[in-house]
Amino acid sequence: MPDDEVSKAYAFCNICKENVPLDITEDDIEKAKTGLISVISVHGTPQHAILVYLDMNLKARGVEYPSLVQVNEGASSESVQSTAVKEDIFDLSTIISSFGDKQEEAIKTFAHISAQLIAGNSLYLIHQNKSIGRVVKDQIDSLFTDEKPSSFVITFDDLDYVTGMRPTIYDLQYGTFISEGISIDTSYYEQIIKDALVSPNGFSMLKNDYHKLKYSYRRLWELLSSGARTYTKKKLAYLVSIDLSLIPLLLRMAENDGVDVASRVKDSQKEKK
Amino acid sequence: MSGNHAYLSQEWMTAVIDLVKQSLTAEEMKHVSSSMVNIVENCPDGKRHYMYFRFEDGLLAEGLVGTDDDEVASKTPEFRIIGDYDTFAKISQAELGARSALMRNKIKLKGNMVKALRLSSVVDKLNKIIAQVPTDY
Repeated sequence: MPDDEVSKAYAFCNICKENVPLDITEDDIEKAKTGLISVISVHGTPQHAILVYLDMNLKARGVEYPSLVQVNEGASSESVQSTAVKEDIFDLSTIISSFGDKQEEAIKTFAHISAQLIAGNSLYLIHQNKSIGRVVKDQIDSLFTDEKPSSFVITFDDLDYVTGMRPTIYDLQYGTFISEGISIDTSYYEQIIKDALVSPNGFSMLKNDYHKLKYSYRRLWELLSSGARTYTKKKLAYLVSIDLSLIPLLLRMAENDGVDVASRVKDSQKEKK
Repeated sequence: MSGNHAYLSQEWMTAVIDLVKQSLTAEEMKHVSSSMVNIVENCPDGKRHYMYFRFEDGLLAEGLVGTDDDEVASKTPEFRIIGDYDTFAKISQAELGARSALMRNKIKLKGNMVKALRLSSVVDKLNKIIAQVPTDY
Protein backbone atom coordinates (compact mmCIF):
# COMPACT_ATOMS: atom_id res chain seq x y z
CA MET A 1 0.00 0.00 0.00
CA PRO A 2 1.38 3.46 -0.80
CA ASP A 3 2.46 5.40 2.28
CA ASP A 4 -0.02 8.23 1.72
CA GLU A 5 -2.94 5.81 2.13
CA VAL A 6 -1.71 4.85 5.61
CA SER A 7 -2.33 7.09 8.65
CA LYS A 8 -0.24 6.90 11.79
CA ALA A 9 -1.55 6.62 15.31
CA TYR A 10 0.49 5.70 18.35
CA ALA A 11 -0.02 3.54 21.41
CA PHE A 12 2.23 3.02 24.39
CA CYS A 13 3.73 -0.49 24.58
CA ASN A 14 4.36 -1.62 28.14
CA ILE A 15 6.84 -4.26 27.02
CA CYS A 16 9.34 -2.01 25.28
CA LYS A 17 8.26 1.15 27.18
CA GLU A 18 7.89 3.16 24.01
CA ASN A 19 5.18 4.64 21.87
CA VAL A 20 4.78 2.39 18.87
CA PRO A 21 3.30 3.49 15.55
CA LEU A 22 0.19 1.79 14.26
CA ASP A 23 -0.52 1.72 10.56
CA ILE A 24 -4.14 2.64 9.94
CA THR A 25 -5.58 2.19 6.48
CA GLU A 26 -8.43 4.19 4.94
CA ASP A 27 -10.47 1.02 5.29
CA ASP A 28 -9.76 0.90 9.05
CA ILE A 29 -10.80 4.56 9.41
CA GLU A 30 -14.12 3.77 7.73
CA LYS A 31 -14.67 0.76 10.00
CA ALA A 32 -13.81 2.81 13.10
CA LYS A 33 -16.75 5.13 12.36
CA THR A 34 -19.15 2.38 13.42
CA GLY A 35 -17.25 0.82 16.32
CA LEU A 36 -13.89 -0.11 17.76
CA ILE A 37 -11.28 -1.51 15.43
CA SER A 38 -8.42 -3.71 16.54
CA VAL A 39 -4.95 -3.17 15.16
CA ILE A 40 -1.99 -5.37 15.88
CA SER A 41 1.58 -4.14 15.97
CA VAL A 42 4.43 -6.62 15.87
CA HIS A 43 7.68 -4.96 16.83
CA GLY A 44 10.73 -4.91 19.11
CA THR A 45 13.58 -7.23 19.97
CA PRO A 46 12.70 -9.89 20.91
CA GLN A 47 9.71 -9.50 18.69
CA HIS A 48 6.37 -9.20 20.45
CA ALA A 49 2.89 -8.01 19.65
CA ILE A 50 0.37 -5.57 21.04
CA LEU A 51 -3.27 -5.55 20.12
CA VAL A 52 -4.73 -2.04 20.24
CA TYR A 53 -8.42 -1.15 20.18
CA LEU A 54 -8.99 2.20 18.52
CA ASP A 55 -12.11 4.34 18.47
CA MET A 56 -13.39 6.63 15.70
CA ASN A 57 -10.87 9.31 16.70
CA LEU A 58 -8.10 6.69 16.45
CA LYS A 59 -7.57 6.93 20.19
CA ALA A 60 -6.46 3.77 21.98
CA ARG A 61 -9.36 2.46 24.05
CA GLY A 62 -7.45 -0.56 25.27
CA VAL A 63 -4.19 -2.38 24.75
CA GLU A 64 -3.63 -6.10 25.12
CA TYR A 65 -0.46 -8.12 25.06
CA PRO A 66 -1.26 -11.42 23.36
CA SER A 67 1.22 -13.97 24.69
CA LEU A 68 0.48 -16.74 22.27
CA VAL A 69 0.89 -14.87 19.01
CA GLN A 70 3.12 -16.73 16.64
CA VAL A 71 5.05 -14.07 14.78
CA ASN A 72 5.64 -14.97 11.16
CA GLU A 73 7.14 -12.75 8.54
CA GLY A 74 4.33 -11.19 6.57
CA ALA A 75 1.64 -12.31 9.00
CA SER A 76 -1.48 -10.18 8.73
CA SER A 77 -3.54 -8.81 11.59
CA GLU A 78 -6.53 -10.82 10.39
CA SER A 79 -4.79 -14.03 11.41
CA VAL A 80 -4.97 -13.11 15.09
CA GLN A 81 -8.21 -13.67 16.96
CA SER A 82 -9.12 -10.64 19.01
CA THR A 83 -10.15 -11.09 22.63
CA ALA A 84 -12.54 -9.01 24.67
CA VAL A 85 -11.25 -5.82 26.27
CA LYS A 86 -10.51 -6.61 29.90
CA GLU A 87 -12.55 -4.97 32.60
CA ASP A 88 -10.95 -2.18 34.54
CA ILE A 89 -9.19 -3.10 37.73
CA PHE A 90 -9.63 0.34 39.23
CA ASP A 91 -12.67 2.51 39.27
CA LEU A 92 -11.59 5.76 37.64
CA SER A 93 -14.49 7.75 39.06
CA THR A 94 -13.43 6.72 42.58
CA ILE A 95 -9.91 8.03 42.01
CA ILE A 96 -11.25 11.30 40.64
CA SER A 97 -13.75 11.74 43.46
CA SER A 98 -10.78 12.31 45.79
CA PHE A 99 -10.41 15.73 44.22
CA GLY A 100 -13.79 17.29 44.84
CA ASP A 101 -17.45 16.74 45.61
CA LYS A 102 -18.57 18.03 42.22
CA GLN A 103 -17.36 15.92 39.31
CA GLU A 104 -16.60 18.88 37.03
CA GLU A 105 -14.37 20.45 39.67
CA ALA A 106 -12.73 17.09 40.49
CA ILE A 107 -11.95 16.50 36.80
CA LYS A 108 -10.30 19.93 36.49
CA THR A 109 -8.13 19.28 39.54
CA PHE A 110 -7.23 15.77 38.44
CA ALA A 111 -6.42 17.03 34.93
CA HIS A 112 -4.06 19.62 36.39
CA ILE A 113 -2.36 17.03 38.61
CA SER A 114 -2.07 14.58 35.70
CA ALA A 115 -0.53 17.22 33.44
CA GLN A 116 2.05 18.08 36.10
CA LEU A 117 3.04 14.44 36.51
CA ILE A 118 3.26 13.92 32.76
CA ALA A 119 5.50 16.98 32.56
CA GLY A 120 7.76 15.29 35.14
CA ASN A 121 6.84 17.65 37.95
CA SER A 122 6.71 16.45 41.56
CA LEU A 123 3.39 16.06 43.34
CA TYR A 124 2.94 16.41 47.09
CA LEU A 125 -0.38 15.32 48.58
CA ILE A 126 -1.14 16.68 52.02
CA HIS A 127 -3.24 14.83 54.57
CA GLN A 128 -2.84 14.66 58.32
CA ASN A 129 -3.69 10.96 58.06
CA LYS A 130 -0.93 9.70 55.79
CA SER A 131 -2.67 6.36 55.18
CA ILE A 132 -5.50 8.26 53.44
CA GLY A 133 -2.98 10.16 51.35
CA ARG A 134 -1.19 6.94 50.44
CA VAL A 135 -4.36 5.34 49.09
CA VAL A 136 -4.86 8.31 46.78
CA LYS A 137 -1.19 8.37 45.80
CA ASP A 138 -1.19 4.63 45.03
CA GLN A 139 -4.26 5.03 42.87
CA ILE A 140 -2.72 7.92 40.94
CA ASP A 141 0.53 5.95 40.59
CA SER A 142 -1.42 3.01 39.20
CA LEU A 143 -2.13 5.10 36.11
CA PHE A 144 1.61 5.35 35.55
CA THR A 145 2.58 1.73 36.30
CA ASP A 146 6.19 0.86 35.42
CA GLU A 147 7.00 4.52 35.11
CA LYS A 148 6.17 5.85 38.56
CA PRO A 149 5.69 9.59 38.84
CA SER A 150 7.40 11.45 41.66
CA SER A 151 4.54 11.75 44.10
CA PHE A 152 4.72 11.98 47.86
CA VAL A 153 2.36 12.10 50.82
CA ILE A 154 3.12 14.63 53.52
CA THR A 155 1.45 16.33 56.45
CA PHE A 156 1.24 20.08 56.95
CA ASP A 157 4.24 19.84 59.28
CA ASP A 158 6.38 18.48 56.42
CA LEU A 159 5.68 21.44 54.10
CA ASP A 160 9.03 23.06 54.92
CA TYR A 161 10.86 20.05 53.54
CA VAL A 162 9.24 20.14 50.10
CA THR A 163 11.88 20.44 47.42
CA GLY A 164 11.88 21.06 43.69
CA MET A 165 11.62 24.10 41.47
CA ARG A 166 7.85 24.39 41.17
CA PRO A 167 6.26 21.41 42.91
CA THR A 168 2.55 20.76 42.82
CA ILE A 169 1.17 20.66 46.35
CA TYR A 170 -2.42 19.62 46.82
CA ASP A 171 -4.25 19.60 50.13
CA LEU A 172 -6.54 16.57 50.12
CA GLN A 173 -8.30 17.64 53.31
CA TYR A 174 -9.35 21.07 52.11
CA GLY A 175 -9.44 20.24 48.42
CA THR A 176 -7.17 23.08 47.33
CA PHE A 177 -3.82 23.61 45.67
CA ILE A 178 -1.15 25.18 47.84
CA SER A 179 1.17 25.33 44.85
CA GLU A 180 -0.03 24.59 41.33
CA GLY A 181 3.32 23.81 39.72
CA ILE A 182 3.98 24.87 36.14
CA SER A 183 1.25 26.60 34.18
CA ILE A 184 -0.40 24.14 31.79
CA ASP A 185 -3.50 24.40 29.63
CA THR A 186 -5.36 21.35 30.88
CA SER A 187 -8.31 21.35 28.46
CA TYR A 188 -6.96 18.35 26.52
CA TYR A 189 -6.44 16.44 29.78
CA GLU A 190 -9.95 17.30 30.94
CA GLN A 191 -11.32 15.95 27.68
CA ILE A 192 -9.48 12.63 27.83
CA ILE A 193 -10.54 12.16 31.46
CA LYS A 194 -14.18 12.85 30.54
CA ASP A 195 -13.92 10.39 27.62
CA ALA A 196 -12.39 7.79 29.91
CA LEU A 197 -15.11 8.24 32.53
CA VAL A 198 -17.81 7.24 30.05
CA SER A 199 -15.81 4.40 28.54
CA PRO A 200 -16.30 0.88 29.92
CA ASN A 201 -12.52 0.45 30.10
CA GLY A 202 -11.72 4.04 30.95
CA PHE A 203 -8.93 3.26 33.36
CA SER A 204 -6.89 1.38 30.74
CA MET A 205 -7.69 3.99 28.13
CA LEU A 206 -6.48 6.86 30.29
CA LYS A 207 -3.44 4.88 31.38
CA ASN A 208 -2.38 4.40 27.77
CA ASP A 209 -2.95 8.08 26.97
CA TYR A 210 -0.85 9.09 29.98
CA HIS A 211 1.97 6.69 29.15
CA LYS A 212 1.98 7.91 25.58
CA LEU A 213 2.09 11.59 26.56
CA LYS A 214 4.67 11.09 29.29
CA TYR A 215 6.99 9.11 27.03
CA SER A 216 6.74 11.64 24.19
CA TYR A 217 6.99 14.70 26.40
CA ARG A 218 10.19 13.40 27.97
CA ARG A 219 11.67 12.76 24.49
CA LEU A 220 10.55 16.17 23.24
CA TRP A 221 11.96 17.93 26.29
CA GLU A 222 15.31 16.16 25.83
CA LEU A 223 15.44 17.11 22.15
CA LEU A 224 14.60 20.77 22.70
CA SER A 225 16.63 21.29 25.87
CA SER A 226 19.95 20.44 24.27
CA GLY A 227 21.69 21.33 21.02
CA ALA A 228 20.57 24.03 18.65
CA ARG A 229 18.95 22.13 15.84
CA THR A 230 15.54 23.34 14.67
CA TYR A 231 12.66 21.02 13.93
CA THR A 232 9.36 21.14 12.14
CA LYS A 233 6.33 19.93 14.09
CA LYS A 234 6.00 16.99 11.72
CA LYS A 235 9.60 15.97 12.28
CA LEU A 236 9.14 16.31 16.04
CA ALA A 237 6.03 14.14 15.93
CA TYR A 238 8.06 11.48 14.13
CA LEU A 239 11.03 11.77 16.51
CA VAL A 240 8.99 11.60 19.70
CA SER A 241 6.55 9.01 18.31
CA ILE A 242 3.27 10.75 18.83
CA ASP A 243 0.32 11.89 16.75
CA LEU A 244 1.04 15.20 15.03
CA SER A 245 -2.13 16.69 16.53
CA LEU A 246 -0.64 16.36 20.05
CA ILE A 247 2.58 18.23 19.26
CA PRO A 248 1.13 21.72 19.97
CA LEU A 249 0.05 20.52 23.44
CA LEU A 250 3.51 19.13 24.20
CA LEU A 251 5.17 22.28 22.89
CA ARG A 252 3.00 24.48 25.12
CA MET A 253 3.96 22.31 28.08
CA ALA A 254 7.65 22.59 27.17
CA GLU A 255 7.36 26.36 26.76
CA ASN A 256 5.80 26.71 30.22
CA ASP A 257 8.55 24.46 31.51
CA GLY A 258 11.18 26.96 30.38
CA VAL A 259 12.14 25.51 27.00
CA ASP A 260 12.82 28.03 24.24
CA VAL A 261 10.33 26.54 21.83
CA ALA A 262 10.11 29.56 19.53
CA SER A 263 13.73 29.34 18.42
CA ARG A 264 13.77 25.56 18.06
CA VAL A 265 10.52 24.74 16.31
CA LYS A 266 9.72 26.11 12.87
CA ASP A 267 6.56 25.72 10.91
CA SER A 268 7.22 23.87 7.68
CA GLN A 269 6.03 25.46 4.39
CA LYS A 270 3.14 23.00 4.31
CA GLU A 271 2.22 23.70 7.97
CA LYS A 272 2.30 27.46 7.29
CA LYS A 273 -0.28 27.06 4.52
CA MET B 1 -49.00 14.48 54.00
CA SER B 2 -46.13 14.34 51.57
CA GLY B 3 -46.06 10.53 51.28
CA ASN B 4 -42.36 10.67 52.01
CA HIS B 5 -40.65 8.58 54.66
CA ALA B 6 -39.01 10.27 57.63
CA TYR B 7 -35.23 9.95 57.38
CA LEU B 8 -33.84 7.18 59.59
CA SER B 9 -37.32 5.84 60.47
CA GLN B 10 -38.20 2.12 60.30
CA GLU B 11 -40.46 2.81 57.30
CA TRP B 12 -37.64 4.60 55.57
CA MET B 13 -35.26 1.66 56.11
CA THR B 14 -37.90 -0.79 54.83
CA ALA B 15 -38.22 1.31 51.65
CA VAL B 16 -34.41 1.48 51.35
CA ILE B 17 -34.06 -2.30 51.69
CA ASP B 18 -36.76 -2.93 49.07
CA LEU B 19 -35.21 -0.52 46.58
CA VAL B 20 -31.66 -1.73 47.13
CA LYS B 21 -32.72 -5.33 46.65
CA GLN B 22 -34.56 -4.42 43.46
CA SER B 23 -31.91 -2.14 42.00
CA LEU B 24 -28.41 -3.22 43.00
CA THR B 25 -26.85 -6.35 41.61
CA ALA B 26 -24.07 -8.28 43.33
CA GLU B 27 -21.84 -7.46 40.38
CA GLU B 28 -22.44 -3.73 40.76
CA MET B 29 -21.55 -4.08 44.42
CA LYS B 30 -18.39 -5.98 43.40
CA HIS B 31 -19.52 -9.01 45.43
CA VAL B 32 -18.41 -7.22 48.56
CA SER B 33 -18.95 -8.80 52.00
CA SER B 34 -18.79 -6.18 54.69
CA SER B 35 -20.84 -4.31 57.25
CA MET B 36 -21.00 -0.75 58.46
CA VAL B 37 -22.91 1.31 60.96
CA ASN B 38 -23.39 5.02 60.49
CA ILE B 39 -23.71 6.78 63.82
CA VAL B 40 -25.69 9.93 63.20
CA GLU B 41 -25.13 12.66 65.78
CA ASN B 42 -26.87 15.99 66.35
CA CYS B 43 -30.20 14.70 65.01
CA PRO B 44 -33.23 17.05 65.09
CA ASP B 45 -34.87 14.94 67.85
CA GLY B 46 -31.75 15.26 70.05
CA LYS B 47 -31.08 11.52 69.96
CA ARG B 48 -28.22 9.62 68.41
CA HIS B 49 -29.40 7.46 65.51
CA TYR B 50 -27.82 4.43 63.90
CA MET B 51 -28.02 3.13 60.34
CA TYR B 52 -26.62 -0.36 59.78
CA PHE B 53 -26.00 -2.26 56.54
CA ARG B 54 -24.52 -5.72 56.03
CA PHE B 55 -23.69 -7.07 52.58
CA GLU B 56 -22.91 -10.68 51.76
CA ASP B 57 -21.29 -11.35 48.41
CA GLY B 58 -22.62 -8.07 47.04
CA LEU B 59 -26.20 -8.53 48.22
CA LEU B 60 -27.86 -6.65 51.06
CA ALA B 61 -28.31 -9.16 53.88
CA GLU B 62 -29.40 -6.85 56.68
CA GLY B 63 -30.45 -3.24 57.15
CA LEU B 64 -31.37 -1.71 60.49
CA VAL B 65 -32.04 1.70 62.02
CA GLY B 66 -32.56 2.73 65.61
CA THR B 67 -31.25 4.67 68.59
CA ASP B 68 -29.04 3.85 71.58
CA ASP B 69 -31.74 1.63 73.04
CA ASP B 70 -32.16 -0.58 69.98
CA GLU B 71 -30.48 -3.74 68.70
CA VAL B 72 -28.60 -1.77 66.04
CA ALA B 73 -26.52 0.00 68.72
CA SER B 74 -24.97 -3.29 69.84
CA LYS B 75 -23.87 -4.38 66.34
CA THR B 76 -20.13 -4.87 65.79
CA PRO B 77 -19.63 -4.10 62.10
CA GLU B 78 -16.40 -3.88 60.13
CA PHE B 79 -16.73 -0.10 59.88
CA ARG B 80 -18.18 2.45 62.30
CA ILE B 81 -18.72 5.84 60.71
CA ILE B 82 -19.55 8.82 62.89
CA GLY B 83 -20.84 12.15 61.65
CA ASP B 84 -23.46 14.86 61.96
CA TYR B 85 -27.04 14.53 60.82
CA ASP B 86 -26.50 17.20 58.15
CA THR B 87 -23.51 15.37 56.70
CA PHE B 88 -25.28 12.01 56.58
CA ALA B 89 -28.36 13.67 55.09
CA LYS B 90 -26.15 14.98 52.25
CA ILE B 91 -24.52 11.57 51.78
CA SER B 92 -27.91 9.84 51.73
CA GLN B 93 -29.08 12.30 49.07
CA ALA B 94 -25.92 11.51 47.04
CA GLU B 95 -24.93 15.18 47.29
CA LEU B 96 -21.70 14.28 49.07
CA GLY B 97 -19.51 11.30 48.20
CA ALA B 98 -18.44 8.94 50.96
CA ARG B 99 -14.79 9.19 49.90
CA SER B 100 -14.87 12.93 49.79
CA ALA B 101 -16.51 13.12 53.22
CA LEU B 102 -13.81 10.86 54.67
CA MET B 103 -10.98 12.77 53.01
CA ARG B 104 -12.28 16.11 54.21
CA ASN B 105 -12.77 14.77 57.76
CA LYS B 106 -16.51 15.43 57.60
CA ILE B 107 -17.05 11.94 58.99
CA LYS B 108 -14.89 9.84 61.29
CA LEU B 109 -14.13 6.23 60.62
CA LYS B 110 -13.35 3.40 62.96
CA GLY B 111 -12.03 0.51 60.92
CA ASN B 112 -9.49 -0.05 58.17
CA MET B 113 -9.21 3.32 56.44
CA VAL B 114 -7.46 1.93 53.37
CA LYS B 115 -10.18 -0.67 52.84
CA ALA B 116 -12.87 1.92 53.49
CA LEU B 117 -11.48 4.24 50.82
CA ARG B 118 -11.30 1.36 48.37
CA LEU B 119 -14.93 0.49 49.14
CA SER B 120 -16.12 4.07 48.82
CA SER B 121 -17.27 3.63 45.21
CA VAL B 122 -19.50 0.77 46.33
CA VAL B 123 -20.90 2.88 49.15
CA ASP B 124 -21.60 5.69 46.67
CA LYS B 125 -23.59 3.26 44.52
CA LEU B 126 -25.63 2.33 47.59
CA ASN B 127 -26.21 6.00 48.40
CA LYS B 128 -27.37 6.74 44.86
CA ILE B 129 -30.11 4.16 45.37
CA ILE B 130 -30.95 5.44 48.86
CA ALA B 131 -31.28 8.94 47.35
CA GLN B 132 -34.19 7.67 45.24
CA VAL B 133 -36.32 6.83 48.29
CA PRO B 134 -38.80 9.68 48.83
CA THR B 135 -37.60 11.09 52.12
CA ASP B 136 -38.30 13.98 54.46
CA TYR B 137 -35.02 15.12 55.97
